[in-house]
Amino acid sequence: MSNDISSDQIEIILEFVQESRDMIDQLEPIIIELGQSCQPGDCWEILGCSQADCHRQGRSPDFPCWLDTGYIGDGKQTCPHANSEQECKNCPVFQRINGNVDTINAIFRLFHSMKGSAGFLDLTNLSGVAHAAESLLDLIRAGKIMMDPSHVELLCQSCDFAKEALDLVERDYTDQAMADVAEDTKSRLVQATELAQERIRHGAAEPLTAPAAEAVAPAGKKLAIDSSFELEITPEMVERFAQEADELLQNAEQGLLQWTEAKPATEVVADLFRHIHSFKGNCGFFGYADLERLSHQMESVLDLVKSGKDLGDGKPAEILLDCLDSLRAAVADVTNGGSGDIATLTTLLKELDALMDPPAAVKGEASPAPDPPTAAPEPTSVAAPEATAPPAAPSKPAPAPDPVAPKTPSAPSKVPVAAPAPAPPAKAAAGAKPAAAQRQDIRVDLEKLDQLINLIGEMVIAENMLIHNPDIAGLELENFHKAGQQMSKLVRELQEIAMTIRMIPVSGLFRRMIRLVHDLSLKAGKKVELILSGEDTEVDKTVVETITDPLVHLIRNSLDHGLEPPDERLRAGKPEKGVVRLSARHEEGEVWITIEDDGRGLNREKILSKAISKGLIDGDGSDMSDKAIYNLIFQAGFSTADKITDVSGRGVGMDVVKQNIEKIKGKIEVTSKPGQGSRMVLRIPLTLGIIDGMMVRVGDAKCIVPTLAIREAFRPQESAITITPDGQELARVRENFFPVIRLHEVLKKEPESQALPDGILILLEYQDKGVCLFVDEIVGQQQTVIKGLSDYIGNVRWVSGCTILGDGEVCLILDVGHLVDIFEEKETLGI
Amino acid sequence: MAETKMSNLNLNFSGDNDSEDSQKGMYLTFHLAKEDYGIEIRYVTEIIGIQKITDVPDMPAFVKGVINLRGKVVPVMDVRTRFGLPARDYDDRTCIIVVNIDDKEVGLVVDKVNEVADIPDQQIEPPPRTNRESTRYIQGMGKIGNEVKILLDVQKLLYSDELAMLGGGGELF
Repeated sequence: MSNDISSDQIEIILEFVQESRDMIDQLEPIIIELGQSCQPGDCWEILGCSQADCHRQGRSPDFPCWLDTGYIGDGKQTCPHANSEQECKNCPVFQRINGNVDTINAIFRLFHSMKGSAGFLDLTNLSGVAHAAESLLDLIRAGKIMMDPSHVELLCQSCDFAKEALDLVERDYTDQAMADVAEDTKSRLVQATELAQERIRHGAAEPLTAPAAEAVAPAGKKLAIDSSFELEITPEMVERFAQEADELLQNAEQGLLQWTEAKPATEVVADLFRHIHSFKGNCGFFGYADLERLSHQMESVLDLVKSGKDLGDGKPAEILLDCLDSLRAAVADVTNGGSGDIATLTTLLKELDALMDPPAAVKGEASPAPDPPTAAPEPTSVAAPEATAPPAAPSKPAPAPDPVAPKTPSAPSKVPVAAPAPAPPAKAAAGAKPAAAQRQDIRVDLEKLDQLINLIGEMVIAENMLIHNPDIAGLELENFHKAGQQMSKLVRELQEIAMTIRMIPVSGLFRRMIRLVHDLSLKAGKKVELILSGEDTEVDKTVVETITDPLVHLIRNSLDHGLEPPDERLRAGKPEKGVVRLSARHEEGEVWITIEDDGRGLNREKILSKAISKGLIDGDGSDMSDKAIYNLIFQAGFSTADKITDVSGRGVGMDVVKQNIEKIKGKIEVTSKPGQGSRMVLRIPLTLGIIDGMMVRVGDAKCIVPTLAIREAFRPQESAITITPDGQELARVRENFFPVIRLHEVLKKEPESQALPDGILILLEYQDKGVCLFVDEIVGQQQTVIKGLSDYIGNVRWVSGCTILGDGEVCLILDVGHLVDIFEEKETLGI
Repeated sequence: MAETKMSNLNLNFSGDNDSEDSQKGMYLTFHLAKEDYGIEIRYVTEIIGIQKITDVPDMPAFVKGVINLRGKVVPVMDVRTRFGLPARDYDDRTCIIVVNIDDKEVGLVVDKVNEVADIPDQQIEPPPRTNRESTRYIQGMGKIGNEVKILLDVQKLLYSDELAMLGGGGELF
């Protein structure tokens, strides 16, 4: 690419980078899952086949059965378990060895569409690697070769390469600097492909020839159309697809509208082409066959226009607009959970064909009147660059292929021609249009968003100042109060919305861990299963960013220190495969992210002796609680690992974990049972900005207690108070006793009265533990905008932040967790 | 001398550009106990009258607490306490000088603010060499005629070692 890249091009490139990244992020875990689910096996064993006369019986040939006795390639077609190529691919043996065809297809499409777009953008290295990966996948899905764990590894590396290249492209708009790496990755892919083919050739009676591999491509494509809906495409992906599709179609529509007035300028057509092209790519990726076909055909028309060919005097813009409407309706259908079929596909395709057939169409009003020779293209011709010459094969007018009916055992080339389903799509086309128009998204600079949220925070304070203004205290202002109430309501709503804007699900973060676990388990030679749950739990974006590193560290730790090697596990009577569970959920107004493993657990003695040798604790530590000891692992420089691996063990990880979590006012809890595993819970406040608070007063000092932590408040009876011999006051609440903490002692203030019955006890609960806080009185409840106590002061125990009251005064917010914890650590407060 | 050159150059500029450097040699002087002190004016953002200070527990005595400065929470240090001088009740002459270092604002409580004085470098003597606690914060002794102003190093005033300890110290128990 030349040096001067226009801003338009940059935009396209950046869009491509973004899209590709998203796709890689989505598919990487799938690749890994695939690698884990695919294992070699013997067909007679998997199927429990007792065909004694089959020559495979009892033997374990390297050569896959489907190429041998089966129906793929040069198979002898003698297998009793299948009757067609299709059945062969659906056979458990095939799926066990080469993986689920749908999954492979999804991955194939990733590389395919990356190859296409990268080629289009002149990113030769990226497209080269994508092409090599694609070829490998193509052979696997067609059953030409057997899948091998090394293939998965290679695909992961290709993903890595792509990620790196994308980073580079984002910066420099070219991937030239990656040429060496690309060459290396590519050659390894090609080698692996050849090796795998070689193996088959050795096993086979007749060697497979290259053309045979070529011939497979269309079949694979057909499969993609066939069964794409069983793919693991998440609702979020569909949503994003729909948003983007709307955007693209919207842009295309504008271009087309210009066209209806006058013959368009070349740039306009080029724009149009691009929009439709990207749209096609997306559809292909998601496997929306109809959408892909129609947009492909539109693209071909536009390509002709772009290259300066005349389309005759039909009304190309009108027809294209019609097509666009259908596309949009189908996209709307997709968003509503439909399959994105286009009922009028055949007609539209014919109209487009007519446009591209210049001599014939010159006269014809481009109406549905079809020219006999221009039959609807077969699905297999989707990939053909120019649809002007479709084989005049005896194809039935192919309408919407029904994607959920994959097993049609007829002649393979016509398989997708299933029963048309005209009624529902038509309805969707009519009804769902507005729905498609409604969904609109806009990408916003995060800084702007933060400004907005800050402003809303300030507004909450200002509103408090206004409503509780001392100047109007005690006045009877009916109308003012009405208006004030209305305003409070609005502000509260505003605030709630503002909080949700920044919330994103943790799924992205979690899914990134799949790759991590995969890599680490290979490196450490351990077998690990990662189980995710609660992926749709939403947390603040900052939280996601902040806990990414801690999560990586903790998972590394679990794998490296927690889980035992397979032989040790077997000796301990555990299954060979270790389990790491990662889950997220809302609890007590916090988000809890749990990392659990069933490994050997933390070793109390080892931690203790290490801590003593490092001088981290005084004495022999025998009086320390388990919890206190486990917390030692978060000290800087602490590591009990005997040997330092390149994964972990240097002892820098855990204190980073702690720092990061504390930055967002979170906490880590460690529980562990020797030999059974350990669990780390990251507890993170749900919102970082605003909480409901109860204001309490002691002497002349006021404090905010987070309402969430308050169980109840009461004026204690003398009889409910017990004093232990060491002077600790306990308050009885029904059946339980809770220690009393006097707030005035914490704040070093003079209370109105020292006697408990004169004041109020507030029962605070934190992590199943309770304390009673003694205060003079409860002043009231209010929305509290949390502000940090200046960096200059740093972290203050008891205090999690502060807020500004209506009268402008600064008021501290108590850190309930700290109060409870410190009480537990020391039993007495020591103040 | 490079610095004088800089300020000469800056005479040619106007507006924002020179605000930084034309402030060189300018000191805000204030009164504390029996002495006059000065701090470089470039650190000072504003001077406000004394207002309600909210206590923060577990702070060293010289950190009086926090105040609300138009929606910002700003910690306040009592310079008297910092220097180990006897405490004195705040009155209507008592001021809070808000200084800004590295984007962190801190208020300094002083007895009385005097004026902005121009003390050229050649009028500044190096600080006395003693082991006394408070001399650590002294940047130099400025002379204006017969008067002597003790020029304070704001950075050290705010961030001497004991406070650095305190930052992490809040975590320990």
